[in-house]
Amino acid sequence: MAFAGVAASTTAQTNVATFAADNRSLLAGNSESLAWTLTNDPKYQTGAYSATVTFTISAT
Amino acid sequence: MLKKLAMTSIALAMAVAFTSFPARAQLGSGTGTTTLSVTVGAEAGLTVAATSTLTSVGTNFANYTSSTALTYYVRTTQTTGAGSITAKVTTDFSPIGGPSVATPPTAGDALAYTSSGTAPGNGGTGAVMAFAGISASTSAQTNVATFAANNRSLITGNSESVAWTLTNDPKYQTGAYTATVTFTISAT
Repeated sequence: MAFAGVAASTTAQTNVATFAADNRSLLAGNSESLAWTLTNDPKYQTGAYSATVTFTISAT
Repeated sequence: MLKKLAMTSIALAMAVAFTSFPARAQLGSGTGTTTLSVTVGAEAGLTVAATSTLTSVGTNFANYTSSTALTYYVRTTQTTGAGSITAKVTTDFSPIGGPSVATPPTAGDALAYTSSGTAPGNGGTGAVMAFAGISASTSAQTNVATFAANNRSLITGNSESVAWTLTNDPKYQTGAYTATVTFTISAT
């Protein structure tokens, strides 16, 4: 349930967590958290910026 | 060795908001989105060479000279921003008997500097990186460089140099003397 130092991508799906056979969550759901880090480059112009991240979960 | 001497920094508001919209996986898959937001603000930082030794070379009583290297980091606000690097002699030469910025033994004795450096890229228009023949002061901040709106340095910093000249007055008693100069960088 933990991946460290993963660079987010606009082209590739990157892992947040992976599951194995017979993994089953609680009925109320289980928690997962992401801690984000963004470079503070002086080249960035001042202002407000936003981005959208889409999470996908799958199971077979 | 570099020592961070002074930094007047406009606080970077870099709050990363996290608003989630959970989606429950159904039929083997599902998606949810979050919006990451960040506010990039004006900011400035500075590193300064810890020591600079003034020496007199050539003819007798040639002025003492030296230079101090700085690395600066800056981001000013688009359209309305500005900033500066300034210098002030925060501790005059000591011990007594030698040069003095505030009370020189002879009128006209001076610690002066000429600055130069690389302008910030990415919108460096309006930055002034060179000031010549500036008399250092124990009471006033004097300009080393000034920045205009939308000036942004490299992430590794940009360089600035201060070339010092100190009058070599025969009235100075022999010995070693030190003074402290504080550089301040600011950005809005």
